[in-house]
This record gives sequence, C-alpha cells and structure tokens, in this order.
Amino acid sequence: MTEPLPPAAATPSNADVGAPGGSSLVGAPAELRMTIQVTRASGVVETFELRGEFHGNDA
Amino acid sequence: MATTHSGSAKAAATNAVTALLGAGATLTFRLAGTITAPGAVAATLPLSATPFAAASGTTGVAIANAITSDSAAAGNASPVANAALQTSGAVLIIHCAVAASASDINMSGGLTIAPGDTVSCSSLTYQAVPS
Repeated sequence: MTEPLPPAAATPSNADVGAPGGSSLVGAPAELRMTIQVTRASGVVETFELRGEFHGNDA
Repeated sequence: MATTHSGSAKAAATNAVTALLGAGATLTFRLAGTITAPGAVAATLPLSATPFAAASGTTGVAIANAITSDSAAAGNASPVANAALQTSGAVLIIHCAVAASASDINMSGGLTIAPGDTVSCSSLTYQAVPS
C-alpha cells in the first residue's frame, strides 16, 4: 500500500550545479522517495525514510 | 538561469521513464555498483504489473502501485549502497546511491539488511523533472 509523501523541499539553486544533489545543466535532478520497513529476525521493525535527488544516469 | 518545465512536460518525462519498467519490474537494494555494473542484491521487492500510476499533470510525481515485500531477503554483511528500479529482465532503469552521508540518499547509520530479514516498502514516488 502506498501513500503520498509531503511536498519535496525547495529545488536546489543553480549555485548547486555540479554539487551532490544539486541541479544538472538541463534542469533539477530527478527525485526518488520511499519509505521502507525492515523486520529483523528478532521481530524488531526499523523504518527508513529515503529521499534522494539524483541524475538519471547516476553511476 | 533556471530551467522550468510545464506540468504536462514533467508528467510526460516521468511517465516515459516509468513505462520502461514494464510488468514484472522490481525494486532492489544493492551493494556498491553502477547502473551498468550493479552490485549484489540484498533485497528484491516485486512491483505491480503496472509499476506506477500515471504521473500528476501538475507536479510530474508518479506514485508506485502496491509493492510486494521480500519476506526472506538475501541480505549482506555490508550496508546497502544503491536502490534500483529494474525490469523483469534485470535491466536497471533507475539507480540511486544510498549511504550514511554525502550521497543521493542519506541515512544516519546506513542500512544493513541481514539474510532472512523482511523488507517492505510502504511508499515510493518518482519524479523525473522536478522543475
């Protein structure tokens, strides 16, 4: 089951071009957001909120 | 000067990418690697036959349809380094770095998946062109 996440933070400025998470020369980087849960053998459930800006050809 | 796209353009870009996934696509968490030489898989979560709903015509954000948990993850002693969305034929379409800091996705403490762990994803969104 999926639920919408809150709006993303402001897009990085062009001053961020070339910096990790910054804008590319063709516009702001793509964004992937997810919430995952890892259930350990002990039964403990850990939740991770992942949000990343990246370039589609990210190596 | 900033580049700005219309809502319809943002949606078209997102839909073009998510359409490449096709039926049988998966979300995988992997060790260090690249999109062309991906690292070992720590967990595999099958996406729906239609992986994403159509992107919003305003924001260009697409929300993933239901994702199946990996109830017995392969796991690894090393922390996850990448998240990837890939086709049924294991062709990576989206590849994103994950690390404790200074990465595309940052997590304090990192993410280490042990063999047999259950990994679930309750929310997944993708946006090809944010502005």
